[in-house]
Amino acid sequence: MVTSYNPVSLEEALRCKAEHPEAVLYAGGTDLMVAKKELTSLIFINQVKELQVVKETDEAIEIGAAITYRDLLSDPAVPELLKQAIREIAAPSIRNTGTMGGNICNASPAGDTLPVLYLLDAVLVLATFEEGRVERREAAIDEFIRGIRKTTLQQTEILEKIIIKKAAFSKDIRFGFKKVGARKAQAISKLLFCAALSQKDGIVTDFKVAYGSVGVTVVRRKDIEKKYTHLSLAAFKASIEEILNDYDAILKPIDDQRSTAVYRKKVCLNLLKDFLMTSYSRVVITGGTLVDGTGDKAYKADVLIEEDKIKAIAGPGSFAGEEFQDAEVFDATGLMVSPGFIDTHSHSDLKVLIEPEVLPKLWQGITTEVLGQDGISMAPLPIDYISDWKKNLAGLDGESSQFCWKYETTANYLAMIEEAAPALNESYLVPHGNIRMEAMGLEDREPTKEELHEMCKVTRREMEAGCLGLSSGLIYLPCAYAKTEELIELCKVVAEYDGVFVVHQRSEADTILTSMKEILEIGRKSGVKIHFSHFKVCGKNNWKYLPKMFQLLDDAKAEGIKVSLDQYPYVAGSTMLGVILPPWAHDGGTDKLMERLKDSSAREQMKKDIEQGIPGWDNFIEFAGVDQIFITSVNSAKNQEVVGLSLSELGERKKKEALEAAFDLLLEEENAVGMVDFYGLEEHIAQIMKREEMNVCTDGLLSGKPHPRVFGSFPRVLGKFVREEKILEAEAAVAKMTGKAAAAMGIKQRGLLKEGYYADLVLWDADRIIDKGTFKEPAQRPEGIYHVIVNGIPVIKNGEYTGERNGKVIRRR
Amino acid sequence: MVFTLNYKAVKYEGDPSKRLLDVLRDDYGLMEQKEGCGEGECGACAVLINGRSVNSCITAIGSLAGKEVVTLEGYRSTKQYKALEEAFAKSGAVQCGFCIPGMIMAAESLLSSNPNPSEADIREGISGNLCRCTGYNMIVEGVQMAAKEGKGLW
Ligand SMILES: Cc1cc2nc3c(=O)[nH]c(=O)nc-3n(C[C@H](O)[C@H](O)[C@H](O)COP(=O)(O)OP(=O)(O)OC[C@H]3O[C@@H](n4cnc5c(N)ncnc54)[C@H](O)[C@@H]3O)c2cc1C
Ligand code: FES
Ligand code: FES
Repeated sequence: MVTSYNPVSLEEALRCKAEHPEAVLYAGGTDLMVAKKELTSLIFINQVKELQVVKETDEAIEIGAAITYRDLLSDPAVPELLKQAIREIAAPSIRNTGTMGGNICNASPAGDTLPVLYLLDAVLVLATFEEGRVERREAAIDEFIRGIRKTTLQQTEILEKIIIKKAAFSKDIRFGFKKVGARKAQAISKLLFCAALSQKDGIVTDFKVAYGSVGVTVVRRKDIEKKYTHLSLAAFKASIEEILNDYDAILKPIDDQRSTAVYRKKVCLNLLKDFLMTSYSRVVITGGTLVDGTGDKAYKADVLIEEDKIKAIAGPGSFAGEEFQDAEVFDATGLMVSPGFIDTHSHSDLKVLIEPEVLPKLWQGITTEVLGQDGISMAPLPIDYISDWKKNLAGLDGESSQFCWKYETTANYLAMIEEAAPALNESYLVPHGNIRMEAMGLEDREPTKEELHEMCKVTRREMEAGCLGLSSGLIYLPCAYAKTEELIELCKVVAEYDGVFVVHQRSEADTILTSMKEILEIGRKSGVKIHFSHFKVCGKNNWKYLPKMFQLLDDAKAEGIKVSLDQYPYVAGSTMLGVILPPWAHDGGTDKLMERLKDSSAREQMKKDIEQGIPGWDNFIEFAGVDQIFITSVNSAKNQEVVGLSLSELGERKKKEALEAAFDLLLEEENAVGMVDFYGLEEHIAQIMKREEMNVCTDGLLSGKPHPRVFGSFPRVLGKFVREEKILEAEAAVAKMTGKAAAAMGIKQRGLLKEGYYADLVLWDADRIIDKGTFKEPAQRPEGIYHVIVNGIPVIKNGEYTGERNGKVIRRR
Repeated sequence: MVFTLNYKAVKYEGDPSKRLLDVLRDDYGLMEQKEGCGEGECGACAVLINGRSVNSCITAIGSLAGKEVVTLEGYRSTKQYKALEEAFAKSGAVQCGFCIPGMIMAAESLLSSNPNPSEADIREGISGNLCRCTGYNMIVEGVQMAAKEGKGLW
């Protein structure tokens, strides 16, 4: 039988180990018990007092080897960086028993505390019992660990404690940390990165980098570190490429089934680059005219950015001289300097996961997008509905099989965006349609009491995950099935969080007044802030309603309802071609729709409804007409030739009635067809733009042949409506692109040029700024946008993308 | 070796390297803890040791001298269990039920140190417990509901 010992003091344990050198030490057992080795003799050290204490001296902290991770996490003396690594280890039940002593002595290449211990130059104290007394030796961690599961631990030794000098984790040091794992809990880490950088009086005093899981032991190269320590910060910053090359040359990750060597190396270098770029980064913008997003008069001043925030704004020349020599300087003479633009209606939801640069947005100076629009987007998404929902979404957000769709919740979706590392900031509204789908499926009916309750719960969960508010699109399914009451209940939840209800209302045409009243009623009854999406009125017959629409807004505000709205400055809209069909055609989802499009009597009924109209339904064919609706995207290769045609041209091409041809196309493309429709007047745009509650958006669909607004909304306002037509002052226009937008969405610390705010900025030329895209050639870069800075890092310089991706996911706080 | 099992002191004299999971089954007839993976990955075998959830499949019995072990059988008699049971039933958290004993232990362990957990805390709290059936949302809700309706218990 296995013999065992349960010492309670270190001396007892050491004596025992000296007498039974073959006995195996058992701390938490989480490595030992999985290894399932034949054991003959065990010494349980989990109750040895001396191994359980954290001691602070003037110079250092000493951590007992057998303290559980759980207890280390709640000890204020333990360095935060170490806690970060510990939090990433497995799951609570493992952390409740696992120990750092075990992690070190097990010496696995994937041990998560090891890179941090290397980085902090940890020293180990190893004790033995020799000649009647306790003897101790010290060993630096990198001397102690010799290879995979190889250490210099002697048979009679016990690791007593780990000493970390306080200077190694002083407050002045910038730390970088990231564990990249397949799944957070349980994952044996794929890669762990940590780094430290500090400076004193402009001289680099500390530069350290450690990688875990890329070699047989932790990779830390003091020779490379030494080369760059003691440089001036400016010289250091200028050496980033060189530093990356040095690490590129020495990193030789193992290629195993968990991830490929190439991928690991790329991630290693990206993490390092990110850390080096953002730590102590300073940017000075001189000579520019500040249009600060408040609407106040523009003024001349210089801006100092430190790391991700605006550190100071002061008169011209304030940030020149010796002291600022490490800063990257942007000469903004002759340029406007304003907060980065905020796009309150964006459809990059899917694209950002696969093309995280989102260039069409960056090029026009947008630094923050609000996703999750129109009540149908990526999350939440129950697993059972993935295939149905992908089809429903394809027209708005596109399609992709490049990522795993089984993320289920907003929290996970936002984490995926973070993993993709977007170039600009992303925020999210929880879409009503997704909530409804999770709670009651895609049917056309009212929710039961229980289902409504469930929808409120889902809303609450997603608001907790950081959504800015709720969105709905009452012409899209399943949102359109909802009655006002349902929305009021959900909005009550959103109001508790001071969130916003962003809505594509039921009608933007014949019944727009009733439709607006419905939305305002939701605001009145729930207390939620209302934000109308892409505010407009469509169709000649309906233009007369505009003054009444404004009256409704004024009355609502007088009554105390909080109302805002956004607009893209074009007279044509873009959406999915499916909207031309009467709502019943979509009942039950895309598969049902396909059946109906195959059924000739159903097609007849659709045509009849389109010709005669259905009360309360926005009939696109009626208010734009078949010659004013153009096809902008299809999925299949064979139909690419019809992209760009109007529906009447499509009919001619196919030698059919326009509607018949459109139905055929929807059938062939499984509903994934994009369109633009011309519905309004330039003059109306100007009137809406002048409204106090208006801010600018793109409503840009990124898939297929896009609408020019995807590329040009913001420059168009500043070029056409400000400079050429003088509809607005530049100050007011910029406020409508920044400060107002942030306020409407509840985005904090962005949207203004203000000390302490995040450093999202755009530098543009008031004489040249203009959009270039047309409906024929929409994908054209605007002119007059020179530099764009996101969270303190320049992402567009002299009009060119720098390759940096420094966006954040913005969660409601 | 003496330890407490479900609030009673017991004496164990067998193999100290034996897995707690097996000891519970073979020596004490306690069968609620399931063996899923046997490697600490799934949480199906979790029990409470001094109030914290621990996977019994990777715990040697010899490490428990003087400790308090509570299994689902013992935990059932508590008000906290009742609150969790009710909430799990209401939220539809239980399907095949295989993971539930472990989930309950993880929930208790979480709530005893954090009585008002956020959703993220709960997800983290049960992150070591695999469920093949539900997709976790209902379980998360169950824990949330228990925290709310069982206010004051933890
Ligand atoms: C499901 C699961 C997930 C995991 N996930 C992670 C993870 O994400 N990241 C990670 O790093 N690890 C992970 N691990 C591994 C393990 O939990 C850690 O390595 C843990 O730190 C080991 O500590 P322990 O006290 O349990 O070690 P034990 O198993 O008790 O001991 C491990 C080895 O160290 C020796 N030893 C222990 N203490 C001492 C001492 N004081 N002096 C001398 N020798 C000693 C033992 O004799 C044994 O050889 C995971 C394990 C499991 C089962
Ligand atoms: S059986 Fe113990 S964790 Fe899976
Ligand atoms: S309910 Fe079946 S495994 Fe969780």
